[in-house]
This record gives sequence, C-alpha cells and structure tokens, in this order.
Amino acid sequence: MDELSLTQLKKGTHGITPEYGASLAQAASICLEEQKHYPGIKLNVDGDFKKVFLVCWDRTTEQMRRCWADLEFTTEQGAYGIATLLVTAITDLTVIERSRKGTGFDYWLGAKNDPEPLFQRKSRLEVSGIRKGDMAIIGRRVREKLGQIECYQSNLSAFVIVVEFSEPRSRVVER
Amino acid sequence: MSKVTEMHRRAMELAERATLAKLRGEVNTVSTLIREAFEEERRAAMQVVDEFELEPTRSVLYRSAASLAIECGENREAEKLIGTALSGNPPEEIAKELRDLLEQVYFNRHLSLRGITLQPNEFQVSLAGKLVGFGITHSEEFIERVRDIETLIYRTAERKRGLPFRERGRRKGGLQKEIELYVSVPRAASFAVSLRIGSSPQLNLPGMDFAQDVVDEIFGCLELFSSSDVKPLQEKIKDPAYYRNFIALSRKIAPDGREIRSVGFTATRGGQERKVILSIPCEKTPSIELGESELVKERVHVRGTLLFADARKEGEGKIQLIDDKGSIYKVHVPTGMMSDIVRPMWEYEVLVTGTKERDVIMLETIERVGD
Repeated sequence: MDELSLTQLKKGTHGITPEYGASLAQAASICLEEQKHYPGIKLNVDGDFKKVFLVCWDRTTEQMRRCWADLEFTTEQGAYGIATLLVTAITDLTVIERSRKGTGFDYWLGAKNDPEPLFQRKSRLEVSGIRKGDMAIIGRRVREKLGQIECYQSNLSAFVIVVEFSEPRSRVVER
Repeated sequence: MSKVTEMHRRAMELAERATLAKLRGEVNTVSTLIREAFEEERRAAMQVVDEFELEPTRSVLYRSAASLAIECGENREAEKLIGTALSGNPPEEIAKELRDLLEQVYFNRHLSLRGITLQPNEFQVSLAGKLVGFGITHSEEFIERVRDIETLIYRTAERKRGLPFRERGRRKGGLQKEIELYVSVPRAASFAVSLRIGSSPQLNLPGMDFAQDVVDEIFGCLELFSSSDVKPLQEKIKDPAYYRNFIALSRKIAPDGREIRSVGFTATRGGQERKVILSIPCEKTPSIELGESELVKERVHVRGTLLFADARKEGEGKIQLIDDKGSIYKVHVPTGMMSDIVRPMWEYEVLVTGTKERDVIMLETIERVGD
C-alpha cells in the first residue's frame, strides 16, 4: 500500500513554497487528529481513480491547534494539503502554479518542468473539504464543484477532489 | 515570459506570506504583504497587456491582480484591471469569475455613503446579488435580514448592559425604547437603507451614547465573523448563549451565495467610513464550535417540518421535526437559539444539523428549506 506522507508537503512543490506546504500539512494533520485518527490511517480514494493510501503525519501540538481554530478555513486548507499529495500520487501532474482568487488561491496543475508559459495547457484543481460527512454529502460536493465548472464551454481541464476527514475518504473526478 | 513568471511567482509568495501572517494574527504585516503582492502581480499582468492570444495567461494574471487590488481596498484599480482582462479573449469560466469580481467592486462602491450623512447611532445596510436590482430587491430577503439585525442589536444591547441571556419573555420596556430601530427609505445603491438606533435626544449626549456603543460592538463582532476569526470573537462574547445567538443570527444575515451575494454595513466614525462586508456564503461561515465530547458523536442532518416546540424549562428547549414519511425527530435546542433562531421557523420545513445522542439530536444549525 502506498504512503501519503503529509511531511512531504514541507518540501513544497513546484508551485507551493516549503513554508506554505508545511502549513497545509499542519491543517490536514489537525483535521485528521480531531477525528481521532492516528498516523498510518487508511485513506480510500474513489471516483475516476481508485486506490488506498496510508496517511502519515507528525503529531500536532497545542500551539498548532490554537493557531488553526477556524473550522472552515482549517478544513479547506487541510483538504488542499491532502489533494496536493493525492494528485501527485495518482497522476503525473503536480501543483505547478497558483493565482489569487478572492482571499485564497486558485491551484493549477502541470507536469514537473513544464516548459509552457504560465497557465497554458494546465488543469485547474478544485478542492472541497468535509470534516465529517457520509457518501451522499461527498457526492453532493462533487456535483456542486462539477456544476460550477461544467456550465462553461471551456477548454480548461480540471480535477475535482473532495476530501472527507472522518472516514477518511477522497473522491477524485477529472473533467 | 520568464520575467512575467518571475514577477507572478514573487507576487504569489508575498500573498502566501500574507496568509501565514494572518494565521499568526499579524494584521499590519498582512496588509503590507498584500499590497506588495498586488503591485508585483499588476506589473506581471501589464507585461502581457497586448498579448491577446496568450490565454488563459493574460486573463488569469489580471484576475489575480484585481483580486489583490480589492483586498487592498483599491476598487478603482481593480475595476480597471478587470476591464482590461475582459477586453481580451478570456475563457468563459475566467470571464465569469472576472464579472463576479466586478460585481464585488461595484458593491464596495455602493457601500460608500455618497453624500448621505450618518449619525453615530446610524448605519447603512446594503444588499447585492441576483435578487437585487438598482434600488429594488426581493422583499423577503430584505425584511428578514432587517428583522434579524434588529434582534442582533437588542441582544448586543442586553449583553453590553450585563444582563443574563433572556431565553424567554419580552424585551424590557426601557431598553426596548432606548434602542428602538428606525429604517430610512431605500436608496438605489445595489439596495441600501439607513438604520437608526434610538430616537431620544438625550442619547446623543457626547460620551453617553449607548446606541453608538452598540453599533461599534456589532461592527467589531461582524468584522471578526466575516474574517472567520473565531477565537477573538469568543473572547469578545464570553457567555456561550450570547455567542451561539450571535453566530446563528449572523449566519442568517450573511448572503446565501446564490440569490444574495453580499451584505454590507457602513458607519461613520471620526469622519471616516467604517465598512464590514459579509461575502462568504452562510454555509461556509463559522458555525457553533463543538465541544470535545460532541466531536466524537455521530453528526446528522435531518429535514422535516417544525411542528412541536417546548420552551417551558430554561436551557432545556425541545423541538420535533416531522418528515414527509411521518418520522419524528427529537431535537434539543441549546440556550441562545430557541427564541430568535428556532421560533421564526415554526411550521416551516427546515434542515437541522447536529450531533446525535441516543434518539435526540443536539442542535448545531437550523435553516429554512423548501419552496
């Protein structure tokens, strides 16, 4: 069984600095520990990609938990942390660029060392996080995300990844 | 192109550092870094201004720069950047995101008072979204929010006076009179009205304006709510019943993200406009934080008509929902929720979210559904 190590995020990716990667790892660890999980828990992936991963992380501290008190924000950032690792593990893509959207970021996927200009022939990464929810809620989130992007005649490709932390489980859909 | 890439990446690193600074609560650092990120991203975007075929690069850079401009409060600059992006050939979904940003810019402009003078005990409320035209809006969206704002004002006044949370019974006559709410005629600015608290001339004596204190407190709390700053909000509203009540009322006032996209508040302090914008859809705003013991319980969502309520014992409110198959769901209502949040939903179809303990659901959120 392949391992999904959140500590990998501390090294950053092509489009995420190590500092920011470390904060995504912290958020994901907090979401998982809050659901009473311990490092080594299985993460079931379904949708267009089916696989089971063992998720590992460094244990959180009281200071980290105080810092990540906002439930919604932590869930969203934690989901981005898991999604960033997942997409690298199941495709040959990685988070290569970001752009500002609202008060957060829009993530763009591409091959490592992609020679194309910014955002050219890249896929968008749409992520949603759920602290605790059943399959129906996961399905609804995926439909909502797909609904947001499928109503356009667009040539931009996209990956939708929903991460649920209580099971934990993730659904990956490629458009 | 490498120059553009370099500028863009530097801008994103600055924006990233701003996000991390925000997490640490370093407010001044956040605004400095966001401004630097904006300047850098705008420079990157300007490099491709004539590269109309370079899509989505051109439009994404402009959208990113415009988002940062809005964060800096540079609305005019954001408007120009969005206009430049739309004048090219952006992909349809990026064009839609640019138009959404433009809507936000115009809403920010409508938040400005434009000649309206507000007294310290007054503030303006503005709505924008699909159901809002220029000076006209759907009555229910408006009336319900004004009703909730009135409740928020009264609860804040009771809290500021040090009164225990009033789970049942009428508002106290004296306080009710002191902070009575008055609504102006609507203005065509998306859709805006002025709300005035209290009418007694004695209330306007310098240093004795309780209504002004209430307005300031509400703005302070809404600012924390809009930025999802839960911990300082809990420190500000220490009583759990008042806290639950504030969160539940603010979620009702917040936009749904579909019909109403933004709800804005403007007041005048020291000759300057003070603005708070609620733009995060209510379902993504902070909800009532669950205790450690509740986190391990099963979280459930049930839908049904609210047809039974028992508020006879303080702190032990009970309601029941009946779904279309006749199944009955028993729900325990915590203090701070029964009178202002649950009661207005009587006989409506509602969606309850909470944690289940045996056959009883501990209420976390309740919202009207159906129709």
